[in-house]
Amino acid sequence: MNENNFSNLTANNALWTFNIDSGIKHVLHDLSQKINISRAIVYIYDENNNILDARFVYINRLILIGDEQIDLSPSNQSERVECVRKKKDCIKPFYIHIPLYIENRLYGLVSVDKSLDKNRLTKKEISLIKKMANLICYGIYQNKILVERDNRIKQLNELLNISMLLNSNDIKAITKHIGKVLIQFGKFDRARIFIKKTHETYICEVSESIAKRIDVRPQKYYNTSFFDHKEISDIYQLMILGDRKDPLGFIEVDNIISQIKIEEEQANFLKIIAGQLAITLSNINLLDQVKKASITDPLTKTYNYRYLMEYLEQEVNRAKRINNKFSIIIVDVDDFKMINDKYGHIKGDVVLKMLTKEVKTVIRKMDILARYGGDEFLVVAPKADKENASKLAHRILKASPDILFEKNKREKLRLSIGLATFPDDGPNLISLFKAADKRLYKAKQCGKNQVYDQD
Amino acid sequence: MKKLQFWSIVNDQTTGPKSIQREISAFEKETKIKVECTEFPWGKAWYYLINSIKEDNKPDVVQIGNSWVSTLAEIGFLDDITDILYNKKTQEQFYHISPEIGKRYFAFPWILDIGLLFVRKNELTSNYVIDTFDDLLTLCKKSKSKSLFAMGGTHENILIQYMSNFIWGFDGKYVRKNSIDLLDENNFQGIKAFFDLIDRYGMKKMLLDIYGHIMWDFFLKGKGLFTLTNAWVINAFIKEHKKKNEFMAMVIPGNEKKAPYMGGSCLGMVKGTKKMKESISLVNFLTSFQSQKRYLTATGQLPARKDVMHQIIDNYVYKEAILKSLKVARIYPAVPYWGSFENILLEFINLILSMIANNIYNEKHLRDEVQLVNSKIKTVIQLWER
Repeated sequence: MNENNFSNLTANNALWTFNIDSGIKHVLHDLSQKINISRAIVYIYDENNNILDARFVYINRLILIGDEQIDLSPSNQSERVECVRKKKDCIKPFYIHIPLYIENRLYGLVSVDKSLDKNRLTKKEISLIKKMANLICYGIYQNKILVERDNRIKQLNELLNISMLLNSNDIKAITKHIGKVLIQFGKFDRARIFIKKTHETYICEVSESIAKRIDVRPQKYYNTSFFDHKEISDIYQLMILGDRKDPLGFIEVDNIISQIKIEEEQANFLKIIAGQLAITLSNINLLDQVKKASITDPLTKTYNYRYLMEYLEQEVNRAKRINNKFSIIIVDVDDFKMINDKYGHIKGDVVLKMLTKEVKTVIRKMDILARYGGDEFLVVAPKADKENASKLAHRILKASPDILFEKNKREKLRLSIGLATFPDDGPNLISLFKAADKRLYKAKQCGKNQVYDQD
Repeated sequence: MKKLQFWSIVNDQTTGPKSIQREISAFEKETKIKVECTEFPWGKAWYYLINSIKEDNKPDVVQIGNSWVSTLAEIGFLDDITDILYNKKTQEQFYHISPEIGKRYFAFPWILDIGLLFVRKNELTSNYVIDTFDDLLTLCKKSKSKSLFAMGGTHENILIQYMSNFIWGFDGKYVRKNSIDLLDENNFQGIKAFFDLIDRYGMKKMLLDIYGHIMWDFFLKGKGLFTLTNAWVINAFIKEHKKKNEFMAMVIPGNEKKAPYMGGSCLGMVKGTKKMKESISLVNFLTSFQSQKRYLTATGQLPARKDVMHQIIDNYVYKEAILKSLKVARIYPAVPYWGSFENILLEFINLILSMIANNIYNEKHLRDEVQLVNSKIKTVIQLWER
């Protein structure tokens, strides 16, 4: 079919929008007004030249009374196959098959017969049927382009939205949105996104009522072996996010409700989305690592001075706002310089590591342990008054580890501890630190290895 | 103001499209509620419905096949209408074609569809009673012709209903919630009997690449000794051509507990509709005595309303067969995933039909394919329930 054929287009063009059915119906109806046809069938083909769909128009419902040979005999089927193969019309006395080609791509086939009429097809009628076939071919072609373009534009818009959202680093929001996109634009029935980092699964399903209520379920493990079933491979896909050996998560999609086979375009859309999500997750992980490193002491894995001061600022504000108390406990290793000098810095580092490990076991979950200076640590105990802070400090003293300094020489690490409570010992951080420092000094002066909570 | 959106599924070969428009006009005139009626073919209906949910482009009221109700309710597409529409009184007035899901109803019965065995009246059949499958086989053997069963066409959901008649006719349990085994002996015997009949006595050339219900025309024209089809098809024909004396109709054969398939269309209210009141009015109107009588008399279909049924089938020559069938007929079980199963089963049936058409059908192939279907459905259930 060449471009000139399109010159026959009429006002019917307006019908060829997204509704291909009404277009075909309209054209065939027009034809039936001009020729006494018995039946017309429009076959629509897919990319692989398989019949995708067929539209029937029975001008006379009982057409087969006239001639049952049409289309029903295997030979007639092979006639159709043959004319599709040869890209040539098959014209018989009472019927005609016209393959619909544009630039070597088969879009459909039109079969028209007038066997009931018992009059042979005239040249004029054949010409008219061919014009009608051209119009239908153009309609199918245009409809396909329109639908594809519409889908592509929607998908691109959505990809743009997703890439903007990906900057937010909010995994929950991103996953929720991606789930919806996979349903609305990816056309999957269901999507399930599992994020390993949070051990959460986000589920989106075809029904709006379910899709809006994103279900977040902690999932301890994720068994993928279940999905090795070949029976459902055409309606189910599992996409691993990131490295297969150490995945960041998975996206599962399926069409089990509609049972529509997953098309290449759908699969490609999923790949793009999965790729974007994998990059984002990887970035979020990296960002988390950097964040963590910036607030952690590399030796003892406790919080560093920077984080400690930020946290204390917040804690003071919070305590003031809700009229609450909190305490700080400064822990200093007695004679740490001597340990370093006598046993070396490596031993000194081991001592600090062992100490923080033990301290972590006796402080509460809400307490913060930070490295304050070389051998000084600070525990922030929210909501702890003097009495409670004192108890905590004694627990720390008691938890001090036994250190093997030399062969057969195991000694308990000695600690001096000073503490102060907000707001009793000072209305701000400076005065609070002054008070705690003063008590630590006193503890050292008075023989070390003890807690001082009063001036 | 946006019109009430009503999606209707029609068959191009009936007077359905024109008739439904007439009903909508009557409704608009009576209630002053404006309705936009969109019609689409059965073959595309499932796809359109699922897509409408994905794209959030849902109608307010929708016509659906009764076998889809469970799935569409399960995925939250249909509203629970038990308290607003489907009370005890209405339950007594209508045939139960809408499945009960946990004592709740999600769709209102509208059009009833029941399969019958239609046999051409001739010397061979005029005094012959077909009650069991053996009776049918004996009749086939008596006939000299090889192409007796006017069974053809592919890609139609109705094929599943035909197969169901055989499964139930052999006491098969079919699919139950969480349990499926089409290889269960009774189920398999029913499936086998169905395909054996097509293989031995079916019009094979009609199985090739044919879309639609062409076999009706074939049968009605004078080809074939018998066909298995839904009552309304022949109703429509007789209405048009007044050839009622050419056929006999009877309950689809089976063993003692035989049960033909009872299908049909229901009207569902879509969850989240902003036009609840208007939707209720439309459902009430379309299922009213007057509308049912007018619409279904025009299309030849059967009403779900009992009083209309008794009135409009009074003149049918096969009234007795319809009434007998209704007494024993059954609908599919309320399995949440049935809507999805239908597509799997249809694919399977088409595959076997193509085997028959190409003369490669045998019991072993059938068994292998049934096993695959079993496995596929089992996997789908597992996925659903995860």
